[in-house]
Amino acid sequence: MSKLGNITVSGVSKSFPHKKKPLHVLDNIDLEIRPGEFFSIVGASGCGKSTLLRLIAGLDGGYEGDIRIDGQRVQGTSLDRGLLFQDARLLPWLNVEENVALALTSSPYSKQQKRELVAEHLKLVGLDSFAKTYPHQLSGGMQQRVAVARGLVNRPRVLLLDEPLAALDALTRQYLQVELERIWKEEDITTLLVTHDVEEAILLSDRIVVLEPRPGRVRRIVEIDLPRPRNRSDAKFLSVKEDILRDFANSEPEPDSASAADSTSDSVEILAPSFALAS
Amino acid sequence: MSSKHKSSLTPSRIALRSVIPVLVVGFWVLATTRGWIDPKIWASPSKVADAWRQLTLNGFLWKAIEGSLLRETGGFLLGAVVGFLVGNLLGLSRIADWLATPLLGFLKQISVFAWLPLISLFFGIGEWSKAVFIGISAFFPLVTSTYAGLHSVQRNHAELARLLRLSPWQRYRKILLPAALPAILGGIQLGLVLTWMATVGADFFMSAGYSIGGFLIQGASSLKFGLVIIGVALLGIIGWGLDFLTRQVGGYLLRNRPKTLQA
Repeated sequence: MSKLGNITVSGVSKSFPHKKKPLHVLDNIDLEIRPGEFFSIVGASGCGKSTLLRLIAGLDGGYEGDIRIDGQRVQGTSLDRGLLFQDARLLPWLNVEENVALALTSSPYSKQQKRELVAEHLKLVGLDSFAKTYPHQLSGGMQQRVAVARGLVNRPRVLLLDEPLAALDALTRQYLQVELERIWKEEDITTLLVTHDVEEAILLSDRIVVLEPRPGRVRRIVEIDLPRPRNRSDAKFLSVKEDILRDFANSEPEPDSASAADSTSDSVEILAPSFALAS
Repeated sequence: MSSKHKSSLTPSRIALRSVIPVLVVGFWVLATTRGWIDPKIWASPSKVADAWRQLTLNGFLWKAIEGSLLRETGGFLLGAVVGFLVGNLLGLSRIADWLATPLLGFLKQISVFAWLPLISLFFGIGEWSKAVFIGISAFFPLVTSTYAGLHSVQRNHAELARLLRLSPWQRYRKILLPAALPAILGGIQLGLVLTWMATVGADFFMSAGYSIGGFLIQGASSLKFGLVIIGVALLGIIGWGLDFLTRQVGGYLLRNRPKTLQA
């Protein structure tokens, strides 16, 4: 595979309008993510990690600084960047196959190619026998696997993961962490994971950036030099974990923390709750 | 919802559900044959049977059913299509919403009968004016339900359209319309009930022609109460049939959705 998928974040700052004083969420973030790398962003809630990911995805704008993918400035969303949310965000009226194919709607492929791509990616996430199943008939973990297939089906250069496993139960989470590592290896794709689960980050990442909250800024970048597959109970693993968790302890979030920064990607929100006409 | 109905149609349940209708008919037979009520006011079952025989023989029965159903269908389609389009306009365009929604909120408070003078002024007293009169009863439910349905789309799902770079049409076709579908089906169901009622109203207030409402008018004016009873029964049965049909179609269209998303 060609080595594309370089992410450059330089001098990125972002504020949200908030009452009288604007809320400063990101402050002068510099990151360089190498092609094919598994890179994680960890930090306490309120450190703006989801905000940063949404900027890289092109879902939000209005920031200072520069975000580039392979030298090209991010402007709006692109099929070159796959994004997974905490909720699988599948459409309940489409079956598994149709949900994955939805990502190909605007792709230049032929019908036949699209069919093959969908089948191939369902196989990648181990759901090829569930193609005709509807999301509400699947478990949360399976739904998230469909979302992985949808995120990868366009063969993007980078895969962006916004706490994709946070809403799952512990067993499913561990299983999908292993799955993610396998898929990342198979696809050889730059992967950027936002998580508050330090263990998850260490298990999967080549490098981890620890963000400090209010305003979100880089505290340090940790190189994870452990052989794969990694063992969660390995002594070296645990010492790395302890080391990173110490950073967290120093930046204990205030009770008032979970503000605009992280809640922008929160799940159920209604588009416009004005039912003036609907009696 | 629909599957529940199906499973409940066992013979014993049908028998149980027939108890009340059988009692009512039994009381009717007794009351008219024993002279408990004045047979001049309440027709006996035999009189109704006579009237029925006559109607089937001279073909008026089918002509009336056909006439009423055609009017119902035409009026409903007119009102529903226009209502759906207006609902889309208001639901998708903020400007249109801001400009026109208060006006519609005002207009929908006006009884359909209050529109009669204006309708006959603009459309005369022919079939067009009836279609418009009936159509009003479908128009408002469709505007309201389409509008509410489009506004119930989750922000999350709308964001997905941006992420997957769907065109405005694809966004509408694949996300907004399916999300609004349960609400729209509810509007169609309500619109059908209301237009069926308005169909009879049109018979009373405009020229009746061949119609079920015509039975009521004719029966009442010529003291043929058998005709009135047949008319009322037909209205009930056909209206129930239309409602049943829409529920079935709706259940089919939403067959793959989780139950909570059904209308």
